[in-house]
Amino acid sequence: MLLIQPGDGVENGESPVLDSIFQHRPELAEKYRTFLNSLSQSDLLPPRLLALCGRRISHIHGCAAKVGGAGPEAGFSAEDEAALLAGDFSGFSVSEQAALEVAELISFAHHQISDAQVSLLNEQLGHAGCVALLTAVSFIDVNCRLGLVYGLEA
Amino acid sequence: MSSVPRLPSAIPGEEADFRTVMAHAPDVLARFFDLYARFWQQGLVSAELKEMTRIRNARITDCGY
Repeated sequence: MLLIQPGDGVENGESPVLDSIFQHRPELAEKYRTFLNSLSQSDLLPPRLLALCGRRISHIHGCAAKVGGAGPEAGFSAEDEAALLAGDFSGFSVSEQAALEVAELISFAHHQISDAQVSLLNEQLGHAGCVALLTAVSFIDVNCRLGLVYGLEA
Repeated sequence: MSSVPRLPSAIPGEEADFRTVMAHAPDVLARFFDLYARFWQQGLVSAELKEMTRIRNARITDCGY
């Protein structure tokens, strides 16, 4: 699963940000895409975890793109979508709840992320997984912000 | 926010900082630095302007960099 699909639009459930904005700087776009996909194509993070966090961040920003992938290939159901929209994480696993809590705060209150929350992520994902998760949610947030600033994902 | 590193360095003998903590995921770190170097080296926006915006962003987000 790719974090960002080249050539896809919102209607396909992916972000148009790279293709719409970075087409003016193709070399930079390629490096950005390669970096993002080093997160999603590694075995550091389960695709479902990335999809859940991507959808929650998209919800918070009012961003149409399903950044991070969403759908059956990521084990992402309509029930998951409804729970995310409601902000009710109680039905998710411990690691998913931990990741979603941090993903939410990254979007609008990163100073409020606590030592305990990061410690729980470390316990659940290990150091490498924790680094990958925090990096992934940070750049999903970046991608949503970029799209919104450029008026691409209202 | 914490005033002490929340993850240890991945590199023995080195203190925890952005690079050494990110090194727990070395492939991600390598791709990030590849992107970051390209971003800073390209010349359409002057280095001075990029540095000013970087510092302003760091101040607003209470980042030590």
